[in-house]
Amino acid sequence: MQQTQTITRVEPRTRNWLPVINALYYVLLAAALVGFGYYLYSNLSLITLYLPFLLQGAGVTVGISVVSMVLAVIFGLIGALARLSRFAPIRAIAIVYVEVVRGTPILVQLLLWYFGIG
Amino acid sequence: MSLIQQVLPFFLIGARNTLIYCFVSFPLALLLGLLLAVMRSSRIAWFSSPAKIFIEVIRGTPIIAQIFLIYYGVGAVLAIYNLSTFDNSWTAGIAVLALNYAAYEAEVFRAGFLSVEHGQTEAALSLGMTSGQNFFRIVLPQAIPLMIPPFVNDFIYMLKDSAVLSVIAATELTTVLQFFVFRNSSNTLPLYALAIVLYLLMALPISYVARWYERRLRAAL
Repeated sequence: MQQTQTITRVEPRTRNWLPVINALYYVLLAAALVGFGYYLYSNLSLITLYLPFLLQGAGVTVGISVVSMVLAVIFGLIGALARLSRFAPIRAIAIVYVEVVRGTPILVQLLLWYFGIG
Repeated sequence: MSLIQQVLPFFLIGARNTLIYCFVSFPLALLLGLLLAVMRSSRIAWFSSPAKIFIEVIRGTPIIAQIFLIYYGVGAVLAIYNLSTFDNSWTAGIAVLALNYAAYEAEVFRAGFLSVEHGQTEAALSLGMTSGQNFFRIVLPQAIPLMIPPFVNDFIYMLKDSAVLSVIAATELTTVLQFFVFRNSSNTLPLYALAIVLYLLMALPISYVARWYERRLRAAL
């Protein structure tokens, strides 16, 4: 016996337009990047004038960050050990230090160390 | 003591302004962050790519550089169109805090949505829910409790980052502190102590509530 069967196939929603408009976006993004490059190029004299100073500043940024991070890891280890100490006063000092430093803005700490204590 | 008594009203105004900055900026940051998170997870590059670029640029540059850009850079552009009245330390400060934290909140939202198992979405869709219903009735209610601790943490970070607004004279606590430090340069340590105490009074209660909630959440999970 032959039986006719109607097969309803559920097609996934086609999104043929998606790659097209995405490609369009990336073309425009590339154009914008080229435009930004041209903007920098059109201010070339300004950039060549200030780039050495900016690079110098970037070097200082990296240097400060590296030195600070090394010291921070060392002091952080000490602080962690102090918080786990068996002596309550040492533990209390560590907790107070951590709470105060984490609860105040770094800018206020900077002003305190530079203008206040210095 | 008389020094503290003399400056305390001004410091309290500064602390109030700090709180105003944060309580205005943070909801804006949440809204914008939700928008960015939804945009970022889109498959259409017109939405996802700008969101990704925005998040990476904001998270990869210091907030102080963003303040200078918004206050002086955008201010200069607005001045061309005679709109410079819109560029004061309040608008610029709130805009910077909101835009900056929107990028961080977007990541929190995204992590929260990803933490809801995909099987839940599959189940909701197979029950015939639309993707919008799935988002608002299945994913969001399960994600919100997980997202609250990072939001509160970010709010405390915002409370402290708002100190950087003192570079545009935003009349928040650090600006007041600097003003009195330079006016009264012989005896500055009490002023620092007062500012630190005020910041701690603002930050620590929120932080303890957050920790209590987090403990409760971990017990519930």
